[in-house]
Amino acid sequence: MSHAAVATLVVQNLSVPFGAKPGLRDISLHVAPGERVVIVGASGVGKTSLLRAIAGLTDITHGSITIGGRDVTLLQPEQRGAVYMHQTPLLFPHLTVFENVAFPLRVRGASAAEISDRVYDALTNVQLDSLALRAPKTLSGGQQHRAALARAVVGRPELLLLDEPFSSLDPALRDDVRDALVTVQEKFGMSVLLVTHDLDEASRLADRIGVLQVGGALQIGTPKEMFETPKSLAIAVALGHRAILDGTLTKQGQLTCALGVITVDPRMVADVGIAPERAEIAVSVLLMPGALSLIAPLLDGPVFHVQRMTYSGDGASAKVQVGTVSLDIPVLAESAGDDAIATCAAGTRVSVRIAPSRVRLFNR
Amino acid sequence: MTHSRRALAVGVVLVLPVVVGFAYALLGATDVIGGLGQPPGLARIQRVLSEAAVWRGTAWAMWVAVASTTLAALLAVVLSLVYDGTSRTDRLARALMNVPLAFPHLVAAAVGLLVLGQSGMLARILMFAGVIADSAHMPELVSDRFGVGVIVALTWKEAPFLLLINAAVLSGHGRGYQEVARTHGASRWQVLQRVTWPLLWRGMSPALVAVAVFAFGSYETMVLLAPSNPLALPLLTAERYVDPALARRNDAFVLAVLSMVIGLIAVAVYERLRSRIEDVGHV
Amino acid sequence: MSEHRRRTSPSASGRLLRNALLIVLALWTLAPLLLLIVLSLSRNWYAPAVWPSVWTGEHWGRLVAAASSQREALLTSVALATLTALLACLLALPFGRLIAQSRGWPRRWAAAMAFAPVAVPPIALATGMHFSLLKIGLAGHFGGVLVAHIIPAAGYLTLFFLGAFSAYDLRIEEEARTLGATRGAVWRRITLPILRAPIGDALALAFLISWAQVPLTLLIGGGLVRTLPIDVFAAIRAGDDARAASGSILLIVPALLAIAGVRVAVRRTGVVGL
Repeated sequence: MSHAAVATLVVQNLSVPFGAKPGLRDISLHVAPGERVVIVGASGVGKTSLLRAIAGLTDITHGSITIGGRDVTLLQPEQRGAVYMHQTPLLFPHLTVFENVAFPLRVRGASAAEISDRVYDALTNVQLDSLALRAPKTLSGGQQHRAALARAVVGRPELLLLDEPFSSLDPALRDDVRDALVTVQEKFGMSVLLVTHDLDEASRLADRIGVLQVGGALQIGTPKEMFETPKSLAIAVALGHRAILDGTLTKQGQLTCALGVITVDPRMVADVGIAPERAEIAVSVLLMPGALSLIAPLLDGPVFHVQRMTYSGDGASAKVQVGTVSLDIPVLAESAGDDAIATCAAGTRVSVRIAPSRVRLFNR
Repeated sequence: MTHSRRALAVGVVLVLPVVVGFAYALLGATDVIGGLGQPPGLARIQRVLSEAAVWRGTAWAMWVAVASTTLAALLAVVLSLVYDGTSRTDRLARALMNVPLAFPHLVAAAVGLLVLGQSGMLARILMFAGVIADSAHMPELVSDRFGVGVIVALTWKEAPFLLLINAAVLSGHGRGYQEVARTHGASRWQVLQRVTWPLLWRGMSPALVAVAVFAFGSYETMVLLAPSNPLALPLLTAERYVDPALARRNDAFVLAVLSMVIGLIAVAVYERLRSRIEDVGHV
Repeated sequence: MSEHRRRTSPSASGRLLRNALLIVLALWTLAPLLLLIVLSLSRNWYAPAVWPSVWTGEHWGRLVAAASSQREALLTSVALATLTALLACLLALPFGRLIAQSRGWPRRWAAAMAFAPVAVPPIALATGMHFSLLKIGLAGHFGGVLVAHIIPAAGYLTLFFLGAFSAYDLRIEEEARTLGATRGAVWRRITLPILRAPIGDALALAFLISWAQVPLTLLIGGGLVRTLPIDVFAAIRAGDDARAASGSILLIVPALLAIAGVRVAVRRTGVVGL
C-alpha cells in the first residue's frame, strides 16, 4: 500500500471473529497523520470490534496492524501507541482527576515535574485545570468526558481510537466535548479513528468517512465522495439517504418514476449498466438533497397533494406522499424559477420537478 | 424532609432491640438490677475490666478475627484474579467457591473439628500415608493457643463471601477500567498494582470490617474449636452468664457491653467505608 | 494463510496452573460435604480408620421415626425459620423501601442502624435481651426465640431491600398512578410483581438466618427450645459424630437450594448475613 510509509495507522486484511459469528473479514484501511477518519454503521456490524482489535484488546484471526510505521500486530495494548476510549469516560474512581490524567505518564515512569507540567497542560486544554483535585464522581458528564480526553492525549499517543465517544451526552454537551476533541487533536497533531452511528457527528468531524456494513465490507472516502456519489444503495442508506423511489431506465437515458419522466446523463446509464440485449432495466432512484422542487400542477404529469407543511431554520418544506415513500420537498424562494411554487399549504395541488444532476441510480 | 424522618424512624425501630439490650446490659453491669445486694455503681465494671482474662479473651478473639479475615481476603483476591474470565474453568471455580456459603458457621466448625482434631481425618490420612506414627504426633490444630482451627474454619467460611464482592467489582466497570489502563500504557503488572488492586481494596474494605466483626463474635465456631485458655470473649461472656456463683452473673453484662461497643464501632467504620465507596461511585 | 493469534488469552503454563488450582479448590470446598455424607452413613467409624467399615442408614432413619428428638428439633427449626422468614420480610420490605427513598446522612444513619443488630456479637445481644424477654415472659419459649431470630433477620433484610429498592426506579409507580392505578393496584400490579424475585430471595435468606442460628437460641431458649442446630451442637459435644453429620447435612441442604439468593444478597448488602 502506497500510504504505508506515511500513514499513522495501516490496517491490512484484518479479520476479527465475534463469538461464533464471522465478524469482520478482510478489513483494510489507513489513517494519515493528523487525519480524522470516522466510521459509521448500524449497531452490531463490528465498529467496536474493529477499534478494539486495533487497540489490542481483542483477538484477531488474520491481518496486520501498523501504527506509526511499527508493526504492532503482536504487541500488547500498552505498547501500541494508540489510546482506546470507551463510550463512557471510565475515569478511575479511586484517583483524582489529576491522577487520572497523570496515569499514562506515571506508568511510563515520568518525573514528578514533567507529570505536573503535562497534566496541567492537558487539563488546561480541556478547561479542567481548576478541577484537578476533584474526585471523578463530582464532575458533570461533560467534564468527565473532557477529563477522559485529557487523559487520552497526555501521553501524546499517535492515534486516538474513539468508540461512540459522545453518545451518552446530551446535544449541547456533545458540541462542547467535540470541540474539545478537535482542539486537543489539532494541537497535539494526533490521528483519530472514530466510530459512531451518528451521521451528523460523522459529517462534522470527518476528513474521511467510512461505512461499515454487515459482513464487514468497508467503503471509505471523503464526505463529499461518500455523500454525493455513494457506491451502492446500501451505503447511501447507511449515510442517511431516505428519498429513494423505484424506476425504470432506458438505454437512451430516459428515467421513469412515480414523479414523472426525465432524461438523465447517458454516462449514468453506463454506470448502472444495461445489458445490450435489454431495452430498459429496473433501477432504484436516489434523490439527493436539492433534487426536487415543487411546481404548479402539470396537465400532462403526476399531480400530488401537499400533506403537511413543516418549518425550520432551513426554510419551509412540504411533505408529499409518493407511493409508499414520503418526501420532504423544500419550498423555494421566488428566484427558483417561473413555475416554482413560492407558497403552499396542506392540500395544495402540486407537481414535482427533478433536477437530473441530483439523481443517483442503482441497479435494482 | 419527610423521607429523611421516615428513614430514621425505621432505623430507630431496627436498632431498638440493640439499644434495649445495651441498656439492660448497662443496668446489669452497674448492679442496678440483679446485683444480689451489691450496691449500684461502677465497682463491677472496674473489677471485670481489670481482669487479665477479659483482655486476653478480647485480644484473642480479635487476633482470630484479623487473621481469618486477612487469609480470607488473600484467598478471595487471588481467586478473583485467577478466575476472572468466562471460560468453563473460571465458572466452575467460582461455582465451587459458593459451596461454603451454604454452610452454617456451626457446621463449618463441626467439620473443622472432624478434620483437624487430634484423631480427625487429617491425622488419620497422615498416619495412613506414614507421615506421622500416631495421633500424638499430630500438631494441635484444635483448641490450640493460636486458634488454627478457628482461623481455618472462619477463612473457609468467609473467603467465598469476599470473592463474591470482588467478582462484582471486577464484573462491573472493572474490566473497562483495566482496558483503559492497558491502552493508556500500563503493563499487566501495572494494571494490577495501580487499578485492579485499589479497586478491589476499596470494594472489599467495608466487607472486611463486616467479616471481621462476625468472626470476632462467632460463638459457635469458638465454642467448638477455641481453647479454654485464653477463653475468647464470646465464650467468657456465656460462661459468666450461667456461672453457678450467682454473684458473678452480672459480670456477663459488663462483657456484653464491651462486645457491643466493639460491634458498634465496627458498624461506624463499616458505614464510613461504604459511604466513601458510594460517594466515589462504583460497585 | 490463516494464522491464529491469541494474545489476550492465558499461556499454556498459566492454563495448567489454573487447572491444578481448580483441583485444590474442589478438594477445599467439597471435601467437607463428602465427609459429612460418608459420616452420616457410617457406624463406629473411629481413628485410625480412614474409611468406614460399617455402613448404615440408621442416622437418617431417626429423622423419620415418630418419637425421635432429632425429628422434633427439625420440625421446631422448620416452624421457627418459616415464621422468621415471613415476619422479618413483612417488616423489612416497607423498611427497606423507606430508607431507599431518603438521601444523604439520614440514609446512611438508617442503614447503619439496620446493620447494628446484625453486627453486634450475638452472644452480647442475647445477654442484653434475655432480661427484657424474661420480663415479658418470653424467655425459654418458642415465642421468645422467634423474636430473637427476627431481630437480626429484619435488620439484614432491610439492608437487602434497601439494595433492591435502590435498583428499582420508583418513578415507575408514579407513571402507573398517572395511568389511573390506585395505590393498592400499584402494589399489586407493579411493585410486587417486579420485586417477586428479591422477595423470594429475602424469604430464603431470613429462613437461613434463623435456620443456622445458635447463640440466640441457646441463650434466649435457655435449652428449652431445641432446634436442629442445637441438636447438632449437642451431638458434637456428646461425640455422636454421625448424628451431628446427618443433622449438618440437613442444615446445609436448604442453603444449597437457595444459593442463588444468597449470592444476590451478598452483592446487594455487602454484608455477611449467615
